[in-house]
Parts: sequence; C-alpha cells; structure tokens
Amino acid sequence: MSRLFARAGRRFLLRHPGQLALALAGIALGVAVVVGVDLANDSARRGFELSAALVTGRATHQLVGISGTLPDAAYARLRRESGIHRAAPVLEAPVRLPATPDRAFTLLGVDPLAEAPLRDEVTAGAGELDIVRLQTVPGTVILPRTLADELGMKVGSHFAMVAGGRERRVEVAGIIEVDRARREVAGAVLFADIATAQELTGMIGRITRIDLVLSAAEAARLESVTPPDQLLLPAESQGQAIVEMTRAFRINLTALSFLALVVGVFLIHATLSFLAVRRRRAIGTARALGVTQRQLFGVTLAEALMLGAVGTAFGLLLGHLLGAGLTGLVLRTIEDLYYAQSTAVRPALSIYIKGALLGLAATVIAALAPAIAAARIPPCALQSRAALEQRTRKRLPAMAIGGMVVAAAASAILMVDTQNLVVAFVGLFGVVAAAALLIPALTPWMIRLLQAPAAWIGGLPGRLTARGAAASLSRTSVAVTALAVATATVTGIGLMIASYRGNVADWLDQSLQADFHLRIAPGIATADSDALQPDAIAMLRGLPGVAGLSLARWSRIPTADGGLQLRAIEPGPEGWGLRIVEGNAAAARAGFERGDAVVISESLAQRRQIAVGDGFVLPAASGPVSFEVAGIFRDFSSDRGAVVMELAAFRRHWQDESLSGVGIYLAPGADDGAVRRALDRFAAASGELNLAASAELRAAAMRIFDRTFTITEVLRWLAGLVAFFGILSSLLALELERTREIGVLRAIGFVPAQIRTLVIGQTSLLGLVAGLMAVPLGIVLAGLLVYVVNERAFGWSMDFVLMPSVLGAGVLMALVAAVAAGIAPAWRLARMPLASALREE
Amino acid sequence: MMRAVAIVGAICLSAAAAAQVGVTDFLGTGPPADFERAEAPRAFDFPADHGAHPGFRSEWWYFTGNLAAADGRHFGFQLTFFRFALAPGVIERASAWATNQAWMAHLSVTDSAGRRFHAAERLARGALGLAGAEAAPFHVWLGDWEARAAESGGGIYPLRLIARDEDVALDLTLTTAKPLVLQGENGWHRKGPEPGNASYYYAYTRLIAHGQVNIDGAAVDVSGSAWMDREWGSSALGPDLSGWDWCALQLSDGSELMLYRLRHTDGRASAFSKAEVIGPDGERRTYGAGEFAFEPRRWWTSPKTQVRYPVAWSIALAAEDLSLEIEPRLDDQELELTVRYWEGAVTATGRARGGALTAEGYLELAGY
Repeated sequence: MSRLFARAGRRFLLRHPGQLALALAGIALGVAVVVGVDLANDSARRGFELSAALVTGRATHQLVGISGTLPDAAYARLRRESGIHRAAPVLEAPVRLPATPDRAFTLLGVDPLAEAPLRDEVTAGAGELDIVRLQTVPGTVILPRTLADELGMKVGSHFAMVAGGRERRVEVAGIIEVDRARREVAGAVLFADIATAQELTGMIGRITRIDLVLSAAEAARLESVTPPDQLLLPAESQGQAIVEMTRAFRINLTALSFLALVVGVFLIHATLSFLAVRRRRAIGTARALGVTQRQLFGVTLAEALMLGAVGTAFGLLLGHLLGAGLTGLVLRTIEDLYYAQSTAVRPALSIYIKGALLGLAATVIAALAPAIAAARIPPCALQSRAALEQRTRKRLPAMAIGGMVVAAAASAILMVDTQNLVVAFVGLFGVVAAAALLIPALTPWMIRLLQAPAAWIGGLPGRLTARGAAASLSRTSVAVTALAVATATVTGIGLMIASYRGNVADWLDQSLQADFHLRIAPGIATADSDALQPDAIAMLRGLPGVAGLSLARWSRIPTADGGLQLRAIEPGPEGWGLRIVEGNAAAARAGFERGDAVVISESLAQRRQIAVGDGFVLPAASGPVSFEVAGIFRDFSSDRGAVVMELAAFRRHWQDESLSGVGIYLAPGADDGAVRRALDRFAAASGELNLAASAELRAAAMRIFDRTFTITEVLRWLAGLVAFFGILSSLLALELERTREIGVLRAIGFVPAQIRTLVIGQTSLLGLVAGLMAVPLGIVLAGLLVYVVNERAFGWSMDFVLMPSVLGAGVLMALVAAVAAGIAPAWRLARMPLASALREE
Repeated sequence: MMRAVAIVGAICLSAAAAAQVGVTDFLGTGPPADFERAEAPRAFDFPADHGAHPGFRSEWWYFTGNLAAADGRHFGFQLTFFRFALAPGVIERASAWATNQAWMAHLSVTDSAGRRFHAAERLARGALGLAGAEAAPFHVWLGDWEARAAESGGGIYPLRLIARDEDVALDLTLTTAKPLVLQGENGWHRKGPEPGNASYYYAYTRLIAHGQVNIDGAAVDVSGSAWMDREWGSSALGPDLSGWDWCALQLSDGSELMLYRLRHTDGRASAFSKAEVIGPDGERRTYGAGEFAFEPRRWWTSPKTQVRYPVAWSIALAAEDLSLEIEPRLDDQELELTVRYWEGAVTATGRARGGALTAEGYLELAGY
C-alpha cells in the first residue's frame, strides 16, 4: 500500500514538472555553490601548500635577514664557520612572462652544488638539463616540462621574462620533469643559477634566505651564533604562514556558500510542504486504507531523498563547473590580499563526497517537518483547507517563541569572548535561523498592515489580494521566509561591502596625504637602490612648488608567524596620516616622535593580543629592541600587521639609511604639471623609481579592493538566484493550490485581466512583505559581518555605513523576484477554462 | 695520481647525490677545448704551484695515511680537495656567485678495529670564499674542511688537516720525512699517446702525521705516516679505457712504491701503466707496463651497490727483486658519493732482495 502511495507521489511530481524542476534547481544550486566554493578553497589551499613544499624542499629551517634579505657573505660565513653543510642559498623572486601575462611565476635562484640535500629539481637529473651551461652562462634558466610545452620551448630556446622591473631575454638551459604530485604547482616555478638570478632581478649581493636541513642540536648551535640581523626560523612555519593567513578568507567564503545552501533547504522545504498539502486527501485515504503514520513518514522522507539525490547530482556537476570559475577568482583575490602566488591544483575527490552528503542531509532536514505533517494527516482527511490554515496559525506562536530562543542562543554565542571565526559564523547562522522561525509569525501582521493601503489602491481586488495572501499562510509563509532570508543575505553582504569600501576610501584619503609619491620599483631591493640618496632628497626638497616631503622606509620583518611590515616614516607637513583607534592620538604621536615608541596596526594588535602600553620587541641590527606600543591605528593594507616607527629611530637601530619612498607635498598655488614633469624626469633618470599621483594610487587601491570583492559579489548574487528559484517555486505551488478559488472568481464575473492583476498583486504583496522584513535582518547581518566577522577574520575595525540605497535595492529585488515569479502562474490561471478550474480537486 | 682524473667529467658534479655514478661514467666527455693543457714538461715554481691552476680542467690535493693510537688501534684516512673548471677562461659577471670553478672534497676514515668505514663529501662553488686554494701561505679549503700551512714562510709543511662530518673528525699535523718528488718526466706525467693527455704531478711520498681522530664523539690521539699527491691537467681518459687500479705503499725498508695499471675495456692493462720506486735516499726509478705484474688475488662484492672490486693484490717487480701481497684493512672501503669508487687503507707483506718486508699504504680502484 505504501508502495502504491509512493508511486502516486512520484507521478504527482511528474505531472507538475515545473514544481519538480524548481525543487531540483534549488537543491542543485545550493549544493553547487557549496561545492564550487569548497573546490576553489581547497584548490587554493593545497596549491599554496604544494608551492611552499616545492620551494622549501626538505628544509627544516630557514635563515633569513631581518631586513628581508641576507648579504651573500652570510652564506659563506655559515658554510665556512659553522660547519653546517646542508645549507642552500635561495633567491626567490616573483617574475612575469610576457607570453602569459595573467599568470604569476616564481624564479628560484639556487646553487646547484648545494641543492642535493634540499631539493631534487636541479640535481636529480630528470629531464634535459645542461647544468654546466646553467652555472656558467648568464641569463640561462630551467623550465618545468609543463611550462616548456605550453610555451613551445626547447632547450636552447629564448624567451622574454620580466624580473626586477625589467624585461630580459633568457635562454632555456634545461627542462625538468616534475613528479605527478607536484606537476601543477611546479609549472609556476623557474630555476636559475643564483648568480643568474641576482643578475636578472638586480639583487646583486643579496639572497632571500638560506634553506637548511638541521638536526635539533645543529639548530640550537646555529641559533646561538646567528648574528642579531639574522633570524633562524622553522621552515614549516614559513610555508604554513600563508595557508594560515588565508584561512580567515577561506572560512568567509565557505560561510557565504552555506547561506546559499540554507536557501536551498528552504526550497526543498517549500516543495515538500506543498506536496503534503496538495495530497492531504490522498494521504487521508491512504491512512483510512491502513497505511501507518510511520509508513507515511517514511514514504515522504524517501520522496525527499529522491529529490535530494537528483538535485545533488546536478549540484555536483554544476559545482564542478562553478569551482573552475571560482578558483581563479579565489587565487587572484589571495594574490591581491596577501601578495602570495600560487597555482590551482586538482581538488580532492572528498569534496564531491562531502557536497553529496551535505546535499542529502540538507534535504532530510528540509523534509522533516513536511514528513511529520504528512504523517499526522488523519485518516479520510475531511480536513478542510481552512482547518489546515488554522493549524498552521496555531503553530505560529510556538515557532515565534522558538525563534526568540534561537535568537537568544545566537546572541549568547556571538557574545562569547573569542576570536574564533567559526563561532562567529555559527552565531550568524543562528540569527538567520531565528529569523526564519520569526518571519512566519510576523507575516500575517505585515500583511494586515498592508491591507488598508492595498484596498485603498486596488479597491475590492486589492482587498482580495491582501486577504488571499493572508489566508494561505501555510504556504506563503515559507515563500516569504525564503525570500526574506535570501534578500537579507544579499542586502547584508551588500551593506558590509559598502561599509568596507567607504572605510577603505576614508583610510586611503587619510593615508595618501602627499600629492605625489616616488617609490622604489617593485622587485628592486630598497637597500640596493641608490635612487633616493640624501642629495636626491635635497634636490626634491628644493624643487620649485614643493612645500615639503615625507620620507618612508618599508621593510618586511620576518617572524615565526609569517612576518610583519615595518614602516619607518618621517611625516610630511600635513600630519602622519594615521588614524589612532586605541590610545590617545596626541600621546601616540609624542611617543613616536621620541623614537622609543611605535604604533601598530589593529590586525597586529588583535593577532598578537597587544594593548596600548605593552612592549613590542623588534629584531634590530644590533639585536632585539623593545619599543612601547603608544597607539593602535586603523590599517587596511595588510592583515599580517604593520608597525610604524619614526625614521630616525629606525636608522639608529637598523643602521640603514636607505629610503623606499618619498611623498611630495605641493605648495599652495604650485604648478602641479611642472612639478610632475620634474619628478618624471627624476624618476626616469634613476631607472628605479615609480612616480604616482595620490589620485592614481587611490584609484588603483580601490580597483584592487573591488577586485577582491568580486568573489563575494558573485556569491551574493548566487544566493539571490537560489532565492529567486525559491520564491518562484513557492508561488507556483501557491497558485496551483488556488485554482478552484480562481475558478469561483471567474464564475462570479472576474475577467482574465483582473485575475492576472489579482495574482500578480498577491505575489507583489508577498514580495514586498519579504523585502520589508529583510531590511532589519539585512542590517543585523551586515552589522555582524562588519563588527564581528571582519574583525575576527582580518583584525581590523570598521565604521558601519548604513546605505539606504542598498536596503532599497534589496526590497526592490524581493519585489521584482516575486512579480517575476508570479507572471507564469498568473497567465496560466487567467487562461484556464472555467470548467476545468472549478473541477480541480 | 690518476686518481679522480676521470672525474674531470664530473663537471656534472652538481648532478650530485641522486644521480650517483661510477667514476668512469664520466669518461670520454668531449675534448677539453680551450683549457690549458699539460703538453710538455714545465719548470715548477713553488710555492706558487701549491696553489690552484684554474686554467686547467681538473686539479687535486690528495692526502692519505695510516695512523695508530697509543694502544695500536689502526685508522686509515683520506682527505681530498678536487677542483674542476666547468668552462674554460675567466668569467666577468656582476654577481659574486658567478664562477666556472666547482669544488668537491672527500673525507674517509677507516676504523680497522671497529670495522667501520666513514665517508663524507662536500661540494661548493669556487666563489665567495666557499672553497679555494692559495699558494702562500698555503691554504686549500672547502667550507670548514681545510689543509693549511701551520707556519708562515712559504712552505706547505708543517701542514694542518682539519675536516669533520657528523660522526667522524680529523685534526692532523703533517711534517715531511722526505722531500718533494716530481713524478713522471720531471713532473710531466703522460697517460696516453695523444699530446696533452698528461698532467703535472708531484708528491710528498712520506709524511709524518700526528694529531687526533674523532670517532663517534671520542677523541683518539694518533700518529703515523701520510702521503700527498698533487696533480693538475685537462686530459680525459682515452675512450678505450675503462678504469684504473692504483696503489701507493710505504715500505718498511724506507722506500716507497707507487704503481698503477690503466685497464682497457677488454681488461688488458694499458701500455701507459707504470710503477715508480723512490728509494730511502730519494732516488727515483720508473718501470713501464711490461716490467711489473699487478694482479688481483681476491674480489669483494659491495653489499650496497653489488659492485665487485678486486680488494687484494699481488705485486711482482723483477728489476727490484720485489714481491708483495696486498690485503685491505677492511674489505668495505667503498665511497658511495657523487662518484663511486673504492679507496682504502691496505697492508702488504713480501720480500725485497731476499729480505722480508712489510708495507702500508692506500689502494684505489676505479671504474668498476
């Protein structure tokens, strides 16, 4: 009997292909987004791990310089004095190939004679390798087989490469085979002899690091003799650092993808609820014929699982395709945010399995309530539609109370004093769940509120519209909830991005005070450049129209947790461009001026749990120096953290007189065209400087900002798309349900045009209700994203900017989605022959 | 002498470790175009000639010796510095790493009583002072392994040898017991019929060694005798040669014997095989391929590489009325490094002009 009933269910779905397609689309899209994001994240993460493993090799430790590079002599000293021989010098530099301008490559300059203990690429002899040529002929490199094939290169071919800011022609001295496991990442690493690498990058006399294979005893011995301007770090931490750093970013994406799945769950839920309602008579009959509640529950759940399985299968396929697109976005964003380069690698099979299980689990969760409802339908269901509505209504207070409990729990979770990002997202999802429970209770109130204006606008049909919407809450509430949650997601993320953008724009305005900026070109080591010597600075100061200069020396301080940025500055005439968010601004500036204090970025303070007044130890040339933290400033440039100190103090402690950049301030009324021409000439003459106006830098920064949020935007709209299918599905169901009612209306004289208006009016009303309810929820979500998630993920605070346009767009989106979703049912119902409409049921 | 001559080809040194090869796998690499060549006898110029000759393709400073602790415990040692020019000429480039000189050093210690053989290798480029050789004061080094004149004044000796690896270390001072010997024709040493297939070669055949050997963390005071070979050239082994067997012995009668046979691919000894005797008074007698017998008596198969080496030998030199039976201190003295060869401490017993005789020294087996 239950088998028969099951078949009836399947046939029902087959007779309503639109309903079926939408349910499948909902779950498929939800699964697709989760799988796609997971694929992109996993691919990026393992790409970083494999790249790190490739360039670190078997190193247990790395010796690095506190200024970011080491002098050549550091390696000679290590080999001659410490007796440590499993040590390989490395010069690692980003390079570009004009032949494939969109991809990032790493040039690894190595000493082939020192490589054997560390890496096999240039020693194992797999492939065609002319090591002698590599070592003795300038401008020769080794390509991985994949890249060589891609570029059509053979041993002896020449190609162009951009390194150290200059384009060079290099010769292929070898093509190496790379094992399968590393093939994907190895395609982005070129090897050269270290002498060649120095010459190509212009980093003469400097190396990036020394890779070491050390026993514990050797490490301890080396640590004890390491000069203060060098640091011995565990190699693993350096490779892991980027993976750790990008973790917050990846968690954010995963959480966003789950929002899409949640919306998908609503869809399944709506479809199954609809199914249960539609078949209450059949179910009643089945019950009367002896089908037990348990059997009914089982059959309903099995139906759901079947839907879920088919939808999930589509979802996996779609997710696979989506993943390919998202991977590029994720990698590019990580490159923009973290200056780390990697290549995508083939993702693990486990992601698809995870996605499949998630899809099925989501289906079961979505099906539970409808299955229980179906099982509870009494035998020989004479229960009327009205009675059903009554029951739905009776459940509302309980749901509302449940919603409030969940909301309280979510608030409690969010108040937990932790920096854990996952906890934040659990709280955020709790808020969404609470809203999902509260919205059905609020919907009748909202509709009642809108009844009077609807009647005023539309007369009798208007009143009918509102009443009809309110009368079929058992289905409308699900549709409204799904649409409201989805709209809130879209507006919440939109508000967060808008706030973020506004904050970054303010911060750029504050930071970029000078009119022009001269900087040592990327790829050229500041310490090696003589472009900004004292006489050049004096010349710049003396240029007609120049009111003053700000001087800066940036360096990367290596640390066990991935390094931080040290910015030594001599502020220009218009202040130091820092917004102090913790500590007294005047006191911070005074401490900075004295040179014994530093100010640190919010992200650093958060990551290391540093407060104003604490000490902060930096590895200076003469050994570790402790500075007082005089203030914490807002900084969006790097979530690794930054330290700002006074330039004279830096020069004293690091014995480094070089400069990385100069800000040029124009005198009032100065001819900025003339100044620019003079600066252009100066920059061109040095060959090592880049010149940019503040506006250009600002525009470039905003471009990067927008690019980094592309993926967030994509996910936001995917969630919106899932929501659209949700509302379409719900409304379709709702209208089918009301065929008879429409028939009656037609019978009493409503013409098809009026029916269409009525149906569209009703769906618009529902859309409006959903849109309006999404406003407060969207604001709450945005607030959570801004104040909780972002702070935990990146360590920086932001001011919340409530953009009415984003909220308005959200309401409009809900309305448009609802209207669009109502069009097809409206036309169908209006066109339906009267007799068949009345015969329905 | 011949010693690692073939490693000339080991310009692919850098193909180290993973691609470990037999010495003679390198043989027959192309003609040494543009390198300086040992085409005729030359006037040696000391101390300058103790230093490097970078225009030649290969060069080495070779120290071997037999040592004994106070309780008679025997140790053999080898410390060698090889220099290779990867390309001829001098290169002028911006980077201080740029060089065409590559260096390799081998250290081995034979612990006869402990029946253990330790071998280690270091590689470095001849740049940034990582490795090099200076004539006066004499100093040859690679990383922290070195041979350094202990006194200033231009001579090599007394000479301090220092090298260490994880489980073994050497710190010896060498002094001369006999003067420098110019081998071959006044230091010009031919290896084949082709012009330039030769090297410049001198040796200190009897040195007095004392100092410390450190094994597994325990320092042992030792003393004994040592031998130094110095050679440079640009030649490669002829295409029909497969390897060589070489031996240097210090005899109990105060003389030294150095002999080698070059092996043809068909197993015959080359006509350029040679034996040299340095008498107690320093006088030198040379014998050609047909004048002595140097035959394997016993073979040993390396469990690590499955290569078979003739580790025990018979020597018969009729003109000197000399016969010797050579036995290795340990069978396993195989060096499995960038290049693979057998080089180890040996003892010998025999007779010379009717009297009983003992000897100790080093045996090198290459190309197996």
